[in-house]
Amino acid sequence: MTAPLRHPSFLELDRAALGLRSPSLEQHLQACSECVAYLGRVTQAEPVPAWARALGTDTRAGRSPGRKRWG
Amino acid sequence: MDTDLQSAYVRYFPLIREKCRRMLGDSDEAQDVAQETFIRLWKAGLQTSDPRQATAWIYRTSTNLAVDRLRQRRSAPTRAGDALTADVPGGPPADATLQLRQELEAYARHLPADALEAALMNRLDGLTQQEVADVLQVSERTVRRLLQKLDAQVEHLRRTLGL
Repeated sequence: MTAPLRHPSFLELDRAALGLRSPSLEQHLQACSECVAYLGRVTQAEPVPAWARALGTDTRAGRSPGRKRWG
Repeated sequence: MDTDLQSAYVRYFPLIREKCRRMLGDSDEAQDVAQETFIRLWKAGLQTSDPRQATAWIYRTSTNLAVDRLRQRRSAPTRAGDALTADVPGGPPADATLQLRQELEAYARHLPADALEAALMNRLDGLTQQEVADVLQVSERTVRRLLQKLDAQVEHLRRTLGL
């Protein structure tokens, strides 16, 4: 009998989406279509909406120079 | 457009949105909280490429904002049709998720914010108590105590208020 699949937490999946993957998570992903689908959703590129684009101009003055490093 | 902003949005917003939907259902309120979380993240200039730090910040901030919303609500809890209905990895089955969220919504105003934050992460996001402790920057023992206290209070509310 196969043991029920125990999913990783969403925190672990979100870390994986940002590039941090443990060997055990890799192994889980090979067998779990739900978690693979979730990762697909959170890593899918999508257009930046107007409210977010506005941040590039609205808040630039309020941010410290040299603090713009995003991964 | 600022490429930094674009890369931040592409990298972080989808997972922020998913997190907010788990807490608040697929609602306008979830979208509002997701946007507010991203705006705060951008304004804070989160200076890290470390996924652990970035996710911890996102979980703390979005959960804190969601708890504020839940505690401010004056209306009835989200209708079942608006709530999460699919089984999700990392968390309990859909029916149990829905029941948990409805209960937390119904009683949120009567429950302490820190316990609600721990419960959302542990019960809806499927974080272990150690993971919750890491995100909230408290001890695992504190998380365990918060959850025990919350369970006792929910049980009391069930008896006195019903759902």
